Amino acid sequence: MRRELGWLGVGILAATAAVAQEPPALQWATDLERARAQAREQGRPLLVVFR
Amino acid sequence: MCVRVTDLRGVDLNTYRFDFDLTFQALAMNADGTVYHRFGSRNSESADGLLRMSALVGVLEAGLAAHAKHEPRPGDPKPPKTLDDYPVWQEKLADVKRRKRSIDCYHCHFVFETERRQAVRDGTWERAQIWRWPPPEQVGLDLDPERPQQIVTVLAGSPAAEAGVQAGDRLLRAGTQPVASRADLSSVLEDALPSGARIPLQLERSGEARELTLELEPGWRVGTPEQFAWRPSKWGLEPKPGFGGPLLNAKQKAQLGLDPDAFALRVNYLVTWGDDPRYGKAVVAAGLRKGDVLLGVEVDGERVRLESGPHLHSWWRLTRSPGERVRLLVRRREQELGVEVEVLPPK
Repeated sequence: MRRELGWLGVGILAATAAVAQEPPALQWATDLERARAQAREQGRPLLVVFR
Repeated sequence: MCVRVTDLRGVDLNTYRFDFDLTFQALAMNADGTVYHRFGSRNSESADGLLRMSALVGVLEAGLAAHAKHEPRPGDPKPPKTLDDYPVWQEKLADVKRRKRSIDCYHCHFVFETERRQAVRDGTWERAQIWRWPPPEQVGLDLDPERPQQIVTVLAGSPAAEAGVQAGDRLLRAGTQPVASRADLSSVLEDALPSGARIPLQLERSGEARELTLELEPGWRVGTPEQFAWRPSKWGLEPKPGFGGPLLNAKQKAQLGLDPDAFALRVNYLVTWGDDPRYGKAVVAAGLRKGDVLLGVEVDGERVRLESGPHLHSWWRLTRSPGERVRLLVRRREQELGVEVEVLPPK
């Protein structure tokens, strides 16, 4: 299961790149509320993955 | 912004709501707390069998589209609540500390167990509350894992069938939630009362829009022990069998002369220790031993169909009542035995 969910994590990276409207600056943060604050400041959507 | 959360310590459970028994969940949301869409579901067959890349891409695209037209709302609608805000959780932490141990990671599956224990403490607990985040099948809908808006089959006689939903329909919206995933529909069902609810559905059928109403009768949320088997929150429910172990594989079954499809569980632990050793001591007193192979269970002479070890545990916890007698059909070396166990009341 860990292998499959690890694959899915890679897939999320690829999927977010695939659907981004502009060249993505993909950063996988680990501080949830800081990421949320940055998303608010920049007007960007937030993708929160619990895994 | 993409963020991965591996520890629920300090996480606001009111904002970041999902089926906390799951080991994976993705929320596409706005920073104001609005969750556009959710992705991540499972059933008792496997943790990832319902997860598909195409469905994930659909959720991400739907999330971006929702974000483009979202009107920000000021502030959070609910005050934040974390695991640390539950008194029973603080008591657990204190108890762990007294034993000179620590909880290094707040697991997602601690949430439902904590909520249950707090509700028991507060006198608000009802058994029906265990049925959380009902799956689409609970209302009779089988959704395509690749394209979750697509309805594959509708169970005859189910709420969905009664509402007029048909196989081939596309589910676009349930209540106020646009549907892009199984988890989106489960989130709507999670908020529907066990005592009954009416949920408006927007569908597309052969290119035409349809609006139907899902009528949910009292008790609609109650599922089956098999559906519940995968949930880690089952471990806190009582009564408990007091034993467990892994299923035998095909080779091990063959060595015992068992059918490859037969249920066979090796008893490799008896819970005669810990906070409540009564259950384990009761099955030991009845004659069960470590190393026994459980071939089946009978109640009132009727064999119970069991699919797995987790199913045994959910069946026992969800369906047995104190005072009932359960007969364990056991293989011990060359002997086949019946071990009669009386179900104990909760502590």
